[in-house]
Amino acid sequence: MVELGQLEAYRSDFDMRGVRVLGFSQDDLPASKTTQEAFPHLQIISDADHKMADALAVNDPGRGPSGHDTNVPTTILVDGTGTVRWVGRPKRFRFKPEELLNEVDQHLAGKGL
Amino acid sequence: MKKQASVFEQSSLARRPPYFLLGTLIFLLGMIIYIIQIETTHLVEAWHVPILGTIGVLLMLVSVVQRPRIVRIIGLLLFIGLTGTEWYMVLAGSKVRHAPEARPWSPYAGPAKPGEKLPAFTATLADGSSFSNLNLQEGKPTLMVFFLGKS
Repeated sequence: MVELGQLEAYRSDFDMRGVRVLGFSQDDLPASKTTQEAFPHLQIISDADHKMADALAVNDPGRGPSGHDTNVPTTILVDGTGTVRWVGRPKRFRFKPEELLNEVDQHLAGKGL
Repeated sequence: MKKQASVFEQSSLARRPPYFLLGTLIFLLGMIIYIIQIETTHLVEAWHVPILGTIGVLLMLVSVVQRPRIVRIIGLLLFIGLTGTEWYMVLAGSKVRHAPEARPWSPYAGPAKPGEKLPAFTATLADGSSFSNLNLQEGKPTLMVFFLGKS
């Protein structure tokens, strides 16, 4: 969950662009609540039944740290009308906040901000 | 007679293998191999670096036991510190490389496509309230970050 800490640290940059950040994991609700408390400026979503992960093809069966299903790190940028503007998946590890801000600037400038 | 004994002693000392030098060279060999690995982008886990470093330090220790001089002791401590750092870096690097998110991810090939709406979904926010694809259409751009989570 390093990425959440990094995103939390860059919250003012996302706020400045009017972008909210939603974090999706397959943790159950109590675990998601703990995560939410740790990162209060993000919105954490519990996808314990991995319905969203399945629907968006980001589920990685049995590959979580404890052998459970988990998400393949994936980021989707949606504009204010709900239209997808960019979908990204790092080759390894995770995107840096600077990279995500760059994608926001590139794909949302004048398109729903 | 005394002179002869002294010459013999000096000659005996001179015949001792130069353990400290040998240890230093073995230590440096690990570093040189690592540099060659980097230069040739042959990026395998560099276990040989701390292993050769440890062998080098052990040889230096033999040298210090045989002839405990202050310069050697300081040198030995320095190389022990360096070897400890090598072990730390290799072990920490290994842990990172074997973390779940360290494996290469396949490119995204799901239904979320630029220019299109997301499929309908309903999810639960950490506070227990509901969140759906309709909430994404309320005028505020959203970055949806799917992460590994705790489980």
